[in-house]
Amino acid sequence: MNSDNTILQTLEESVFSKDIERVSLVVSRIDIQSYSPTEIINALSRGIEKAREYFKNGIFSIPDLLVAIDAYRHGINYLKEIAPKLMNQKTEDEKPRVVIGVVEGDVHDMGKNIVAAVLEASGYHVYDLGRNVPNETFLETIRSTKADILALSTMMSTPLANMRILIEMTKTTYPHTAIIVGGAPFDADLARRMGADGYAENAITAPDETNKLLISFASDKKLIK
Amino acid sequence: MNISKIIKPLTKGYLPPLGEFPDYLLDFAANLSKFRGRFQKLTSVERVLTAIRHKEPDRVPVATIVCAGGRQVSGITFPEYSLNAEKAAQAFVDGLDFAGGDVVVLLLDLSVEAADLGQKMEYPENSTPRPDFNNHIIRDVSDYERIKVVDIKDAPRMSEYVRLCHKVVRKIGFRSIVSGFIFGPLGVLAMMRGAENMFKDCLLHPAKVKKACEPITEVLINFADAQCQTGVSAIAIDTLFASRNGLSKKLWEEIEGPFSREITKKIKEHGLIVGVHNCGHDIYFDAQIKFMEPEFISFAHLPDDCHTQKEMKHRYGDQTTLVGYVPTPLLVHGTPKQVMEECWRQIDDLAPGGGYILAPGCEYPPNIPLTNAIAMVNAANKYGI
Repeated sequence: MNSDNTILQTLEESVFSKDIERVSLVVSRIDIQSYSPTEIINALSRGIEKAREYFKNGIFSIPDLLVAIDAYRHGINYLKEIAPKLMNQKTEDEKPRVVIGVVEGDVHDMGKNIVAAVLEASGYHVYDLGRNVPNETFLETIRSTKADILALSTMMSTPLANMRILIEMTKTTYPHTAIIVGGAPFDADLARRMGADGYAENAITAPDETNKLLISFASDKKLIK
Repeated sequence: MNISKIIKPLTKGYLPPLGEFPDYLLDFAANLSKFRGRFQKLTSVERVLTAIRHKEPDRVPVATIVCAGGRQVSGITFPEYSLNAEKAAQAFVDGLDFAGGDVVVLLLDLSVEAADLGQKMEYPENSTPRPDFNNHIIRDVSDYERIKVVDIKDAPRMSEYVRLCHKVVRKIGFRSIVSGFIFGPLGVLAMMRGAENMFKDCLLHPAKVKKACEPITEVLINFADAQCQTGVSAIAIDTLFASRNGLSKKLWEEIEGPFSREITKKIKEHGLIVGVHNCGHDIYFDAQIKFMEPEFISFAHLPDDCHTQKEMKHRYGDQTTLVGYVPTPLLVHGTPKQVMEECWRQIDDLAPGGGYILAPGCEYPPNIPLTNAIAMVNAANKYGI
């Protein structure tokens, strides 16, 4: 593959500079024979990673991050469109699988959307079920995808009782699926009391916490004790 | 000092607007209460007024912010609470009677204004109302200019809310301070457009967002005006997006700051107390003070420029009254003892010199038992004993 990385760097920069049009332009000009889809996806992902770092450091606010995510998605979608066969299915299958959604009773999905995007950019295969998702849908998707992680979000306290039921059912039925929770009503202590294995304080730290959870779950240790 | 504006409410059995009294008189009354509080128990009104004049009352005042939680005492449903002023009023009064406290914040729900601006709402039985997220009235940026001013009299939710204010003020009388509530322009807009899209529009199409804020703000000013005439003592404006959960400080100052200032002007014209409620992370105390000059800020997390609550008290304690900030997760899972211990930690740092009201960081979670609201009141009562 091509050793000249200038175009990939431009792509990375276009994502974190929130330039959707430039992402389209650059992706459309990439010679698909010279760069593997993985190289292109990695460049887009590095753009998101940098945007995430900018947010952590206070350089970016939520709107900046959302537009950067749009730029990233624009690139990914274009790639899927022009080179679906070149997307390495085997690599996709090897990615850790995350089922994510906003629990039943809540429709605030912005935080969940950010988490889903940054997890995808961090190398996860994300199954995003959306908002106000019934417990049965979560359980069925865990079964069908053999999910490694169940990521649950709510911004309200009213769905917590139902969420606790979902966590219990997941742990009973799919004990090898790790559960991470996040959202306004949570802290680490409440997450633990609800039976979750991990807690993400915000959408930006979710990939770090998810990575830690995967490692700790593999060694049979819970993140929050 | 407009004597008739003072006499009329007093004869009707509720508090006159504080702004009608000259500062020296308010300070004299606060000093008197401070002195008297050393020997006697103050009334809730005396306690709150002493605290917001930055004097130490007999004990820290408490705002439990039990709002929809009061339904549990009254035995009414969420839709009844949201749509029926009489039932909602009873829920707020029942919440105060049951849990105690010194302030009633009429935070009904966040859908009131957007519903009357045309956003379709859902009214679940077990949760607060929410917009129909599959049916936002503003579908793209071109729709922003279609927002029209509505007359409060023709706006059913806001009219019902004004009736709620009127009823609660009459029921509460001199027992407690009653605060109205307004969702800020961008909050209302987020209900109509979806927060995610609105945030992106703020960055990509700020002029169009500002244009949309104009009619919304006009409605909110009229809504504030109507609330002021009911006899509430204060109005809290929710400017959630002046925080790390929303816009950058610069963008908030550019977009919502000037509109929030206009709303506060109207409230102050009536001589009422202006408050800010913002349960976001790293909230911008400085920007909100600059634009709104609020007498109190109700918050859930430390401001962006403070690392500790002591630092917050040092930096902002003489500029505004701090209202907060018992964490929601603790109220959900903590024992009453843990809640009381957290309250005492906050009282230790924030109460000295007055200018502090103990409260949850946000509305008391509506579906959990009210035990921890009572624990907060107990914590204030037992502090130092």
